[in-house]
Amino acid sequence: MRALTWQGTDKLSVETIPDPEIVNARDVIVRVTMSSVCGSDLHLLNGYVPTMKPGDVLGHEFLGEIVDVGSGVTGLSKGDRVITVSIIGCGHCEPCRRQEFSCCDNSNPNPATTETLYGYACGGIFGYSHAFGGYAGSHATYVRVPFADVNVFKVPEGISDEQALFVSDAVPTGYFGADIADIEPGDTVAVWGCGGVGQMAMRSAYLMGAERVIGIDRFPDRLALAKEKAGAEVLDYTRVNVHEALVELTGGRGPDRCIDCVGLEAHTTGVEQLYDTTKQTLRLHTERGAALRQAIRACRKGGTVSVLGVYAGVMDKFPMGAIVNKALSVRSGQQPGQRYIECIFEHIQKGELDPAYLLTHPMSLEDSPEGYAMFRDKDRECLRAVFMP
Amino acid sequence: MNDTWQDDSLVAMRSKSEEAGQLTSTERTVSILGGGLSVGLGLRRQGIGRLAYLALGSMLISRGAMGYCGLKKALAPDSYEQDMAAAHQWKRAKVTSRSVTINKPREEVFRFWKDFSNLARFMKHIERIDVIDARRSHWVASPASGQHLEWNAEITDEIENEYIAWQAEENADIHQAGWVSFHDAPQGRGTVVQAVFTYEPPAGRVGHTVARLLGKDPSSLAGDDLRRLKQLLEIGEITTNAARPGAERGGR
Repeated sequence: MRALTWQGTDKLSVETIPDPEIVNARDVIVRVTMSSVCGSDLHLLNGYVPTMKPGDVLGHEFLGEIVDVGSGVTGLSKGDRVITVSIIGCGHCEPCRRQEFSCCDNSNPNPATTETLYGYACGGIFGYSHAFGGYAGSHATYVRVPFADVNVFKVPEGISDEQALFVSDAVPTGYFGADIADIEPGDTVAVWGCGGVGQMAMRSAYLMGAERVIGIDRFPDRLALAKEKAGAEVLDYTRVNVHEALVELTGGRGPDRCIDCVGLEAHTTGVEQLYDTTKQTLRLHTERGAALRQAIRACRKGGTVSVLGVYAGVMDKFPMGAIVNKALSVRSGQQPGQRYIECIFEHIQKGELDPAYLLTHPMSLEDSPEGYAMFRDKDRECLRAVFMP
Repeated sequence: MNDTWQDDSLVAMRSKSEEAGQLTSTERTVSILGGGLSVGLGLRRQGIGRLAYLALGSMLISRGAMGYCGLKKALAPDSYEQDMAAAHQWKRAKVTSRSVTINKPREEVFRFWKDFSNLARFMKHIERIDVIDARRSHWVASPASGQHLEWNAEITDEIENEYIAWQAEENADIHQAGWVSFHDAPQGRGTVVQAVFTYEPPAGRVGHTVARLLGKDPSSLAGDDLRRLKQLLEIGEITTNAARPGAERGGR
């Protein structure tokens, strides 16, 4: 089969590799029909996640058709049109029983790295480095999916391929971020980052009762989509002082809930950007935390900061004082999508949520290295390049 | 030693006091003199060598002056290892221990372990265990461990659904003992399995193999083995990222 492989920092190539097969009884093999890029892949491309190996297949957000089913799988059959949650749960350990699927005890076959870094091993993720399990990703003709009864969902009638694809990752990530922000009726929710996940977090915030949603970014096309599709007010951080603008927009109270959809390669302006970039380049810290710092400072007293952006290691100048003295709650996590899929499909069927507009650039898998370059450079107003193997 | 499992003081017993790192007066003198010599040698050299000698020398002098050495503490046996060596009449004992919580009823976990042939399914360095009778079993080490080793072990103590202890028979090539306890985790969170593996570190080639088998790398033995046990019991398979049967993709 053909697959997009990582060969080194900023080096991608499409290669022919052997097809996957059923290994364990609860596996299925999915023939991929659509596979999306994700902002989190850029951290792998840029070399900020050290456990990548040449030949690793990228991609974790995909739609496809089941072509083979293990002997222990119930409720799924060949020919089913399905999406797969990008973060793998086993369904039987205590975290999975508590519906915290991304904290699965059993799904990561390489537990040592995250156990050393974070104290305990984290769940496995498709195409997302050896620290997160070393699973082959979805930018390929076929994918082997373990624990299919827990991670694979049939797409209901009436939902298009373009809508279903993003229920694999971008939608549940945004939905989870809004959910853990504990939004109450009347709340103002500020979202840093108007990429795919940010757009979904904004829409989800309205579904959960937010009165106002404010999106923050610097790319005019993304700000325009946030306004038009997600119904947000928008701030361009290169044009306004974000903190002052948020204070002004909220009658001096500050946003009640702040959601960071940016992560460890944040951009800002001025001295902070220079300081963070220099230290990160010298590997003196791993995270450029401008967006998160700004969110923590802007959040109202007693409010919630929900962190969806990818962070890998340690951040410098983390404003702990603001968290303690303003009594903030900080919530975070990788998405436990299995918890939300049914509910998200319902929102889509009712017309309350439509993620299809995230797909701006359908492409052949053969052109995927070019697709990533375009997505990385935010070229040609690319929000999501999607490969069709 | 049989009631060790009943209290939860294994962590306390395996801690070491600061005294374990205290140097004797002879050691302090040797350390200070060696440090002085090293500084002297360093001062006669140039470049990197000078720096290295000076660093070593000052480290040895401060170690001697303070009368304390972190390395000595790290190498010293803990009190549980001392007890085990005495109980088995071994020269020294190495102990590795780990606990894991398995989301299954205690009876089920106990029953799985009680059938010793199952242990080879999750112990990386054991190829096969044949059950001889209710107390005795025959263990065969995996050839990947370096050298062919087989021995008989017998169960020395057992309490239904709570505790199993075993040890290698007297005449075996390796001196090894182990025990495992099974407790209910709080509020229906499954079963806490505490496993402790003890062995006498032997010398020579056999020694290397045994060390690898029984815990040269404690995390690989106790940690990875118990993680595989948890997977077998909770999800009925060993988690793998292999794309095809037998095609493991190496970890890192």
